[in-house]
Amino acid sequence: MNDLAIAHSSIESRLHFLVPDVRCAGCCLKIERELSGLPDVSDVNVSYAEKRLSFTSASPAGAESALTRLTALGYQAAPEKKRGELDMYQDQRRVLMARLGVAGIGMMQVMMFALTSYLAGTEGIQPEYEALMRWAAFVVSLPVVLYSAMPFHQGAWRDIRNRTAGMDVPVSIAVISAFSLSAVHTVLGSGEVYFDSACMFTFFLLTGRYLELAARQNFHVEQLLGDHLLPELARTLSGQLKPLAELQAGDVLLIEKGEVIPADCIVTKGTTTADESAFTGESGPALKKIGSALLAGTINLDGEVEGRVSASKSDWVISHLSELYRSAASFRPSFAILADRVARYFVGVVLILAASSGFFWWYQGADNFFAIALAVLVVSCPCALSLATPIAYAIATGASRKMGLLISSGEFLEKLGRTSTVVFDKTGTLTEGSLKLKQMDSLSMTLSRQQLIDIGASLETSSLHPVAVTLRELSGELHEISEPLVEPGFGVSGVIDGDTYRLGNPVFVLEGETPPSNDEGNWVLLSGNGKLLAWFCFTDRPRAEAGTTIERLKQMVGSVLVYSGDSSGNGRSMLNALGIDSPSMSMTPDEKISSVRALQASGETVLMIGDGLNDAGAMAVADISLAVNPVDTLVQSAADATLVNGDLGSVPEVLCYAGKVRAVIKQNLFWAFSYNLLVIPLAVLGFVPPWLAALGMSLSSLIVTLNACRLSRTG
Amino acid sequence: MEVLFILVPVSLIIVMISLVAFVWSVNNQQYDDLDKEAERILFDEENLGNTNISEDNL
Repeated sequence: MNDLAIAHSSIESRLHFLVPDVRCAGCCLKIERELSGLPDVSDVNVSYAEKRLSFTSASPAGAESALTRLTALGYQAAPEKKRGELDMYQDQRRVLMARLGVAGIGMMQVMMFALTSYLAGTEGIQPEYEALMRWAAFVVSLPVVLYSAMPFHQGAWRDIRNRTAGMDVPVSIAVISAFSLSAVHTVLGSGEVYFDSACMFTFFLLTGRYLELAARQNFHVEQLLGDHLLPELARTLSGQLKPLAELQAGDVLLIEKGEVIPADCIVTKGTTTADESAFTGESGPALKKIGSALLAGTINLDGEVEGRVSASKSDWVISHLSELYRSAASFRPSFAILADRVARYFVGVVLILAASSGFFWWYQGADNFFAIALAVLVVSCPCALSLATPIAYAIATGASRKMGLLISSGEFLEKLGRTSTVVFDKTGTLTEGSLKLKQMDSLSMTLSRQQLIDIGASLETSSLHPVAVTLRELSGELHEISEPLVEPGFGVSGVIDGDTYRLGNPVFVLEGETPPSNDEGNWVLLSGNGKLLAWFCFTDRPRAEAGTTIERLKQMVGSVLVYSGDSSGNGRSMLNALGIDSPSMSMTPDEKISSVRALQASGETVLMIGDGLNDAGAMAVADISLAVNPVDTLVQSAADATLVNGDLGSVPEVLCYAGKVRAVIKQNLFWAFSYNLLVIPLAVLGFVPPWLAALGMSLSSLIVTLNACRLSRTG
Repeated sequence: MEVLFILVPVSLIIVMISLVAFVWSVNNQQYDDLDKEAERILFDEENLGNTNISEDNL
């Protein structure tokens, strides 16, 4: 695909690539230095914030050598596809930075001129010097009010034309009226001036906007990187190259060492490790063997594997992730919508309040009636109120990814904090879902146990059944088989060196045989030329962290239940050992759904945790659902969130974190409301000078933002 | 103190120059990547001729 980009580039052109592997500023400098030395390559720039490489190449050969050198350095580059949005962010950020800087420099200067009259105290300064200071402050505030505060004026004008009262209206009125009144007073040489308040107000508000934009830009870069991680084409087993959009579930792909995995698939052949850090936050390589799920966009590190595509492109985890990022940025929980509505009326109330308090004080004959009206206007700006929830959610969504949690429904974190009952599925959720060979009875005189396992594994070569996976893990040398036959649900058979072997359940292999003991488990037998050779007993093991997880959840939410489709006594005793006293066994998917409904009817908020298709219905019905390591994408789309790293131990942490998110949002709203309610009466009474109002307003927004930033720590 | 009538206008001129310089430097993309430039000093420059900061739009 790199060739594609080069082919399109004309002679002497500027080329842009995304380099997702750039992990630090040092990487950028290293790449810049290495590439700058190449012939026909100039103006190399690697941006750390955007993970983007740009260079000018004088010839296609130059571009090619640059990319070869980049690969040799250990970085991968993807040509940029969608630049528009990021360019827009970059431009916006640049403009905002310029406005912010002008406001900052202007504010400091105006402050200095204003200080003279503050320092002069009661005697005041001589009128000619005061006039000089005022004129100087006027000149410096001019660019601040006309250039820096422009976004507020534009926003206010737009709101007024649409006949809505947005946040920009009081801000713009405050800045313009403070400035113009001060200008009039400067010319007349009487009254008070408020240049310092106007500049400070503008500067602090712009700081908030800038931080918000920067956070949004980072968000966007991450999301676009996700899109760029994917190659354009995937190689099928037959060597044919297929565009990703044309891939269908069931296609088998060949993925070579070092390649980016092009689609969500299940390994059917080979073993490798994959770098999934972009999804799970785990930096170590994840082991992938037959039956493991590979995620599109992760990197195949060690070996060549074949994978069966598990879904079409729109259902891949990476596609969901992009979608999720898009929706998370705009998601607002119910109480945030309420806050927004309140804020909207608030603006109208603020305007009326400011005007009427100004009028009242003017009527009372107070000299500083304008200062009071201005203070009311500034102090009551509901900026913090409208910032309180969105910023907390944006940060929480990003941070939860570090825990390996992929949230697909915005309500997840909001509702999770209210969970009163946790329902687990057993197989695959509380257990590992992979079988262990618990017992093996050999009835053969001539073949060793290992040889029997090898024969079994050879028969199962092409199968994805858990039995096959377990046998292959235990096997040593595999045999060549001819006439392979698979009877789904029964067993497999094949011919090795002229002998016919069958492996499977008794009905398929040798009718009438019964297992050597009554131990619960999955009994499978192997026969050779019609003679019984061996019995295998497979069992499922609970996950190592299942016990402690259940223990912690019991303390946190009280009620932990298990709905299992398993009917064996073995499963029941295992659950008892994990601390579940009365698990509901032998449940059909329909029974799971009706049981969840019954729980909800009795007033419980149910969190359903499952992994398989048999849980999908119950997960859709439950108030909140969490999928643990789902193999099937359908399960994932039914769930509100997915634990990609499959670590059950993080469930209590996620619950804790959801509580924290709720708490932070509540604190933010509480702070914003109480600040406004407390300070507005003081301002109306004339106790708050305009500069203090500007400071207080900005501090309250800053506190809300910083409080939300605490959520970026997930621990 | 009459000197203030000269010094204050001079300071205003300097402020205006610095404002223009700042806006120019922002538009010259000097603030686009703050992380990288902060660490540049920590890296040995073997090849001083090639240490150019990109100037896309110049």
